[in-house]
Amino acid sequence: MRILVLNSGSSSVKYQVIDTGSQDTLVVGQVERIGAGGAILTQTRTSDGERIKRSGSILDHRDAIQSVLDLVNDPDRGAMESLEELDGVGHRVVHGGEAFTDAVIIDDDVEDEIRDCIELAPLHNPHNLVGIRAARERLPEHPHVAVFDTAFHATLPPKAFHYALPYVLYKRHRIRRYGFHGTSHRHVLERSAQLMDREPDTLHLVSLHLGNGASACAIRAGQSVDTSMGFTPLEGLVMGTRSGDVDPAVILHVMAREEIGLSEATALLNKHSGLQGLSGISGDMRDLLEEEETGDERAKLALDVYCYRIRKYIGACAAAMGGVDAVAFTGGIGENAAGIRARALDGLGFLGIDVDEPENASLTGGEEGGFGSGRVALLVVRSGEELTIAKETERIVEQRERDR
Amino acid sequence: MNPNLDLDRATVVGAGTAGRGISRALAAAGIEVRMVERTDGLLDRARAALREGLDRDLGRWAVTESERDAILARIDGTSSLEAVRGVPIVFEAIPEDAKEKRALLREIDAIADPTTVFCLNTSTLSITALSEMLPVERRPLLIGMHFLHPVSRIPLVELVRGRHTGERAESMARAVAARLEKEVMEVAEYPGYVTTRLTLTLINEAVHLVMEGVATRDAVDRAMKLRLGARHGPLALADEIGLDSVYRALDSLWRELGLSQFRPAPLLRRMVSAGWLGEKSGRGFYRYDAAGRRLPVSEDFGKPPLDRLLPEG
Repeated sequence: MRILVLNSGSSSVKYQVIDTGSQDTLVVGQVERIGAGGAILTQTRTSDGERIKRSGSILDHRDAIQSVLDLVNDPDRGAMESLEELDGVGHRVVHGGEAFTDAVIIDDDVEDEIRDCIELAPLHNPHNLVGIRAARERLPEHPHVAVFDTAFHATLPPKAFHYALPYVLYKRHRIRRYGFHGTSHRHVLERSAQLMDREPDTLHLVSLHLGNGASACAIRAGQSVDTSMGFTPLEGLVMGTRSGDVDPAVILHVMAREEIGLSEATALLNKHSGLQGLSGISGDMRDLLEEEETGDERAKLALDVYCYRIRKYIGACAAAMGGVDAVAFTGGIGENAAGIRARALDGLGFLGIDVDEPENASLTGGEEGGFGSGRVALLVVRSGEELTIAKETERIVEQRERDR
Repeated sequence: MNPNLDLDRATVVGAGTAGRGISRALAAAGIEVRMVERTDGLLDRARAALREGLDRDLGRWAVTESERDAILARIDGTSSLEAVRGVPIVFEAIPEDAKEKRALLREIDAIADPTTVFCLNTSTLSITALSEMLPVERRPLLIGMHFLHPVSRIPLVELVRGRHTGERAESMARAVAARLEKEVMEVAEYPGYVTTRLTLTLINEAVHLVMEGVATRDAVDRAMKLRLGARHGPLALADEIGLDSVYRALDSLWRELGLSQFRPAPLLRRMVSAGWLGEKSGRGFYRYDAAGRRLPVSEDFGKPPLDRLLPEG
């Protein structure tokens, strides 16, 4: 099937056209600065590197989607001759709450339910929804599928998803662990199984998505049983500018001592913490590795904390699953920072985790493969959220065809 | 048409505390802002103050460096009122003076596009009366949006419809509020609305308490801070708003409503005439360093003439 994958943000739409049969990405593109005068559209055709770059005024997401359709359909540099060739549209939706445990064909009721989840993901769901509405308007005859970041974690058992807070907060405000990066972890599972020549449902896998955001996922027998992100994508691992785990009392204490309010406290945790906050230099891994090289103590500290936190979570995931067959890395940092992988895995020999250094060092810049020399397989997997969204879309569309 | 979507530009007339606050909030929401002030000198000062405010907020984790830079880049200053041409919405944010506002609105009306909405940032003047100074066609396009200082931190705006305010002005104002993530409180057109009346009463009484020796400045602020669960006591709040603005607003309500609680406390008048205007002048009820941070209490006592009016502390 030929699937258009859409990821609508506040002022951007990222998209790919993917052929699920060959698993090839036909075109990759994005529209940036929607709503401003100088919007920028770029698209690259994968087969021959043919590029389109335009700028102009794009007032809203409807305009943006129309431009995307024009570009993918471009007679010279597009991916198809007619939109008829498109079999479906897959939409990334960040939060599916408890309502959505799987991807789903979008109708008006589904749109309403996604809207109900806005309270849980105020930064993302509204934009995802605007993109969905615009795309459904432009392509009313095509099937549209919502693929949720949270859905893969629908298998979390209650003992893993509940916080030990007053139960009434769960009833009243749906306060619980949801987990994120689900589409990515699902892809890591499938790809790891391929690389290991195993069936996904026989694996005990620790999946580590290390990008701007970072999360660990314990996948037992093909199902997510625990994950490091919680009610929001703030919990768990150290991230570029996000704190990950902190004692919740710290933030209350700081709010009182520094006389800051809710919005400052939220920004402090989300934008001023993590690698950025700890190092005082940058939230970008590449900068910190360079600074550490020159002997910067704070850069080293930030990286030590970053790696140590990952190591603890690998242990926690192994414990949650009662064993571990493989640890897989993905995301910009997971795929490229061999040194960080080695540091995060250091000292885990007791679990059967041993790093083959030369193999590890060779896996950068999009190379996939294994680098373990012990009992536990260690893997690098190229991130493939878009491919997974396309495959999920295909699965749901086929399922509907069968049900008819 | 969704008025939210063509809201990519706005002009703010007046680059005082309110005008800067509104400009910054608009820019933070991704809107290109032209800020108009009478002279280049005043504009330079406004720009410096904007940067200082953002730097201070950077230190309080309210913005990141890149957010600060993006906000500053989206605010363009000019001393020409021509900047009100070709924008969907103009914010008026000059001091609360009916005569000056009337004159300014007439000028803006002559230049602005016929569909441009005027948002008036007043808390004491009548939107209806101000709109009636303008041609009949413009009157439906006037609406009151009272932002509270500091605009970036207070998630509230009081929305005031005059008798002539029309659909377009209201939907535009609501779209702005939504874009700025401000909760809209619709209030009747009556001097002081809700927040100004209550805040000014509290501040004026607090000044009286200090003046009458009932309690020290610190005690008054601490007591009300704890009582209301607020971030500031009333005197620190007055410093933040600007004592001249407080004085002017009190005076205006005193004249309009004739209620004695709005009669400005004599101490307030003395401080304003001494140039002690609060945070912005480095000195008000408290003292502030150049970056606007309140100085520790020990450095801040024993300077005449205010200490003569303060009980021992």
